Amino acid sequence: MEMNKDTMLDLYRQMWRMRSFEELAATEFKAGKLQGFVHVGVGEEASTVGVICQARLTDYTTATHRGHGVVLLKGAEAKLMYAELGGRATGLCKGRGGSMHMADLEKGILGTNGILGAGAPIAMGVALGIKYKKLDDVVFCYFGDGQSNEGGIHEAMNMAGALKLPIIFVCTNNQYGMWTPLTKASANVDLAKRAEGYGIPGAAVDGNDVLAVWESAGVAIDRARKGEGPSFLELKTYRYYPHSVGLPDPWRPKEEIEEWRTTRDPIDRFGKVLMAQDVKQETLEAIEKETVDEMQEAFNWAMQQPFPDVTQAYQDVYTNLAVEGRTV
Amino acid sequence: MAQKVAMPKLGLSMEDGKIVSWLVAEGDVVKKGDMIFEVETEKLSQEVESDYAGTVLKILVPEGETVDCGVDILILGEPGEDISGL
Repeated sequence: MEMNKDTMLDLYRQMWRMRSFEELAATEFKAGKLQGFVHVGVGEEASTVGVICQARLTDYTTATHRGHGVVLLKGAEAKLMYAELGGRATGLCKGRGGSMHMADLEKGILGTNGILGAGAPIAMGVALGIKYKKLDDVVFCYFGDGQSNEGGIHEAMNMAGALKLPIIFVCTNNQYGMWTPLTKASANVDLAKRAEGYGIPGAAVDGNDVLAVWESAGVAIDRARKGEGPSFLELKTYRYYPHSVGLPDPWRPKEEIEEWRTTRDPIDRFGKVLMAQDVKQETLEAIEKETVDEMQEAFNWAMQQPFPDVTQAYQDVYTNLAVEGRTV
Repeated sequence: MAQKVAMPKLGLSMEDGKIVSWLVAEGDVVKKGDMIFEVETEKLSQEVESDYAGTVLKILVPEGETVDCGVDILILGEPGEDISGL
């Protein structure tokens, strides 16, 4: 696949932006600075970057409970995301949503979602709207291997196929639904094969190879923009952290985690590709450091922000406040 | 540089944690990701991994004691480092 070096370096940077965001979120969650729960996608950067970095501003995306990377790389500001995670009034959603209800509609980010599989029907509705308006925008619909067995995912993929809706179904197969290995959740672990059942194209891709992900996502996006309907991408990857930061993780073999970290890391692998093309190691290290600094600065800003006033607790909850006796 | 390690907040409702047992001793070398102690909270009981690398210079909280999240429990650093200022 042909790709110029500047684009490749930008992809490398975006992978580091996601990792640096997530690593800092994990650290500060354990330090008690962030509210709620955080699910981080460290290790899954290629599967996120290779797809969502091809989105236009006018495209839409859903995201899962492990969705910070998608939100960040679809264009949300890191400082507003940290403020949201910290429950601050100036957060992306005024501090009301937190990690799992993080949306930025102006950027086409329909929201992370704590309900597994619930992004798919939302994506389908938006895609139907795009088709109705005869636009060539597309919708990215993220879910994991665990969510792949939720009813809403099947219904959405079937109907999107029937209606030829512009959706890219992106399954981030990190092989575990919480602690349950895919082999115990499904008899058929080749999830991409399910696409045939819906009459749509399906591709199983090495989700830790950002260029392979980019290429297969590009095919799916082209097809969707041309009105030819949805595609299903199964991106095989791995997460290094437990399901949720702070949870015990004794059921995944330590050797397995270590093996993925040391021999299959998506950033390391892409770094080697770049170095083979005469990019200097110092250049890569500088990119890493810049993203660490960027996220630290964003986090520091967020921690200076005020918490919402308690009198605003009902704000944005009801659309019609003309309820007798209600004063908020 | 020496690094203080605090009782982590491992979940929304966790306010304090009991150090059931130390899995490292003063003088041990710890890598990032090594299990350093066993914690018990209202909700869970598990081993906690280190976010930092270094030599265990001082254990600040003995086994069996319960401390609030954020309270320092351990100091990591270089062997022989002066930690009197911490």
